[in-house]
Amino acid sequence: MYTLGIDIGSTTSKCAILDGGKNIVGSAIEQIGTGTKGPVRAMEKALAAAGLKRADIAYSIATGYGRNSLGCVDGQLSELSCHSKGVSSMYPDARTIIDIGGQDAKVIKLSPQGKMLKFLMNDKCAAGTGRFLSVMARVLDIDLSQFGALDEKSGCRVDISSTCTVFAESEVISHLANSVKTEDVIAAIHRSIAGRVSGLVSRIGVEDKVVMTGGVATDSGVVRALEKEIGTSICVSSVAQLNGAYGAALYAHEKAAEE
Amino acid sequence: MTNDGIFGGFIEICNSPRRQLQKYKERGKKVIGCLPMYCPEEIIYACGALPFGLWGAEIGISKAKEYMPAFFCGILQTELEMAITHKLDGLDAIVLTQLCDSLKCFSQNITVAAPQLKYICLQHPQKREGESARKFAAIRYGKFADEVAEITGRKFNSETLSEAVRVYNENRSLLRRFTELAATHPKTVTPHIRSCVIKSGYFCDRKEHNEMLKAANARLSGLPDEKSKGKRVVTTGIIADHSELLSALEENNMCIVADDVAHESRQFRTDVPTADLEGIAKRYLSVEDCSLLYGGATRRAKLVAELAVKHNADGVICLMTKFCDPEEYDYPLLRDTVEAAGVPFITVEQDKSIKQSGQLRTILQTFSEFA
Amino acid sequence: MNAHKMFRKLMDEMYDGYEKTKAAGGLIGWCTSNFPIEIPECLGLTVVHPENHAALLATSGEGRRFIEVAENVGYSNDLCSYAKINLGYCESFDSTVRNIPAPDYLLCSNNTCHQLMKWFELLAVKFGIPLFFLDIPYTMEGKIDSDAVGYIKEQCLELIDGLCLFTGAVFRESEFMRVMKISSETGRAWLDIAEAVGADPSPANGFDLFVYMAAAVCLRGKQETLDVFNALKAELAARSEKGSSSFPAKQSYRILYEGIACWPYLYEMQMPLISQGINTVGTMYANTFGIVYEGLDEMVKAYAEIPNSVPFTRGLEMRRELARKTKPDGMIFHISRCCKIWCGTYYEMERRLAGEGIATMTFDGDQADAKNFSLAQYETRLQAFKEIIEEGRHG
Repeated sequence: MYTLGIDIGSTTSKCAILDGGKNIVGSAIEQIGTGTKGPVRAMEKALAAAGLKRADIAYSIATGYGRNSLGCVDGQLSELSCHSKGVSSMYPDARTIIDIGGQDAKVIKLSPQGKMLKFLMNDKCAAGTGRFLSVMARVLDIDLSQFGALDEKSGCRVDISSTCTVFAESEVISHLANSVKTEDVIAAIHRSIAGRVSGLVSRIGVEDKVVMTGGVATDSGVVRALEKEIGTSICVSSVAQLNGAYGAALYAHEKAAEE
Repeated sequence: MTNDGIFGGFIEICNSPRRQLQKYKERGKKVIGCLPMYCPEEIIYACGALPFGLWGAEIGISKAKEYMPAFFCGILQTELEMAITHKLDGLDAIVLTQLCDSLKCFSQNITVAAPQLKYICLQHPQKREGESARKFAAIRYGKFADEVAEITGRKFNSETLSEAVRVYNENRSLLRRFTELAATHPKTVTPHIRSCVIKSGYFCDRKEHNEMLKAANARLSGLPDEKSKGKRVVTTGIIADHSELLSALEENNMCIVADDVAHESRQFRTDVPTADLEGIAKRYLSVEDCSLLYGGATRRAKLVAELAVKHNADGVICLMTKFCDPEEYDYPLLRDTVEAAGVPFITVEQDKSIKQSGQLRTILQTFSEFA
Repeated sequence: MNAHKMFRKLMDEMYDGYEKTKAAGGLIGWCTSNFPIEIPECLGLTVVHPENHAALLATSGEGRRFIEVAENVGYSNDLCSYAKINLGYCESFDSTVRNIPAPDYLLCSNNTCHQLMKWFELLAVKFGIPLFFLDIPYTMEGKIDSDAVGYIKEQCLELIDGLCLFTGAVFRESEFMRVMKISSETGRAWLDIAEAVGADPSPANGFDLFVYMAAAVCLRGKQETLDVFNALKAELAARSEKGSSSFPAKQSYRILYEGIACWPYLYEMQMPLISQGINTVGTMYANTFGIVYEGLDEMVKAYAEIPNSVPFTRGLEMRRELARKTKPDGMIFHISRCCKIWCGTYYEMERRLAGEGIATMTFDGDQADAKNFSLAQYETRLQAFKEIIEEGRHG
């Protein structure tokens, strides 16, 4: 039995198809978020990758900010539930999830049974989110995919003290104007995000094992900075960006089995 | 039987406060705008005018930005916007209070930015106990009554004042009863309807409101109790009438079993003990659990936790009005007290002036999905 | 000893005195900055000013650490940063800069703002100690009336009774009169200093007012403070006579600084001012603590009419008066993100003053939270501001 999960975020659409509620047989990530174009394309690509047709899917669940905008699914769930599901299935010993997406950061506390106990989200401010990173990437004119590697080369500590994106942008510019090396600026950007997110983590109380999901988890610089801030190692989910969709597909499997 | 049958009147009033204002003006009534919080409406009523609630609107702001920095709450920003753009010109006067820093600054900005309007400044004591506070409150309420009489051309007398107190106490008692019935009839009284029933009182003669409430309460009393499909929640915060909040609550079949919302229960928790100015002042002085008032933090936290336990709620939803510092100070103590009582605590930000982000929906839905 | 050394010694002794009192088993009160200090002073009580302590920690760069603690507890980023620093500090009492002893009781008045009332209420809950609250209501229109004066006065008497009962201190009318007299003289001396700084050319770097202010905030009722201020006055007079100044550059432009100091960047903010020859010759913020009066009624009035507690029209008049006295080229407004009461009417005030021919500039910042300020924004605006003044001169 095949089930499908689709996670429609603010900037990307992620789709995962499961076979028997276990193996991912097809997946896709589209760089278009909320709307119908991105999600539909992600779905089609995932189906193609699995060599399946719409009709082969027993049950489908949408999650993410655009979860209500897609008519062609059987149900919808919040992304916090889906992330919890995805992580606890893949990492049964996980107790804390840090998910940083395009427009918000979430921290979730799990019970030993993998149930969501508590969650916190950032306030209405881009600090500590993927949005903050992409604004900075634009200012630096460097692709986000290079941020992690560049961060590693940083040898000199500089700081970005503002958390306001606009202020931080001008700080970055003045660092650059003062000939501060790009890698040092990137490391400072990563520390700034880590500082913001670690606030959420400490409010919820950090407990090992910590698993990180979401698109920003693919930036190793953020992960390293966060590890330093919260004082414990972080395991990046092997399906970081796909985790929400994966969790949704798991839920879809449960639903289908129920029916 | 449709809900509209019982509640249509309340919803209609909330859909167009401006039409209400027009209606009373046409009847020759003086209408006086009352900003948050604790405007002694009974005095206005006894002077023959209609108190009209001003708690912000769901509109964008542009003109107000020329006066107040962005870090002021949406309630005051949108009221200022309406005042500047002549949306409040039908009011015969507006009552200003100074119970938080934002209200203080707002009082100064609105008088400068909308000079076409008349204002009455009411200075409340923050001190809650002691002879000095009682005396001062009585003096200020007396001065307030004189200024209102100047607008209406009619001073109050003991008869009109006791009638006003009777109407308002009855209104409070009916609203308290209504919120109880809402808790036992979550399918009939959705969060949206609950909000409209309470909110409509701000835009109509409380006497008329009483009649409507009596009918609604009677109908609800006759219906069998209903089981809530969704979570049973207690709400706390300044205001809970944002359309997107209400629809998110409805989507998740949530039932508000009790509230500690300034715009709702904080207005009708306590009655005026005696039908005179002193009694009206005493009601204000006896409010013990409001974030704006001195001494409120601990008792408010306790009250919210008690409400949740008493009503067997699945959780407390803290509706945090963005940039409301009194509420922001209360927050950690409130959260810890509620959680210590074993009740889950959820926070969502509220801002009148902007469309809510999907975050609100996500948080409420996630809470609903909690096992 | 010069005035600056005297001042340093005074402040050191103040902080040392807290610890000594605590060690000797005495009671420590925490007190808000605009509370009538005359009351605890005449009762011989030792009071700490958490606002001053928070500003000190912010200036030294340590504020950030405590703000993080407070925000992690759940206090919003939008709250008063003095409160955030102090509430964070109260979790550990472990500053590497300066420590203060925990309070045994609290003295709070809300003429400064509503936030202080909330902050002190939380301290009372946290430590389980009494809070002596003095309600000095904000005046929304006109001037403070006799009813309000009577209300505040009555509270003062109620409060003194309660405070004596709690601390075991004894109230003596004669001591109260003596302290009121010194306090008022100190207030006068402080205003004289501010006025001297406003001379053209100024004998001082106006930012020095932010430094010396601490004595006016914390120690208004003490003879030692009066001595420091008198010494400073003499130094300023001597410099004025010689035509010299402690401003380290040629004074090409004179400005007024409006709003609370931006403590974490007090040094960084002066650099572009000095390099462009812009001296700050007056600030309402410092003048707030020059409280001058005679007798209890006037004292009450003086505390009720500090800039934070009066209507816009009065506030505007106060700035106009300062501008008349100092004849500045322009005025810069610090929009402190976390302080509504200081900044809530700045936009209109700026418009009015600009309309009266004063060049103005605003910048976004925060009195004590380093992460809400951008030096780049400030520098850019300052440069444009200078260019506007320059144009005004030639045009």
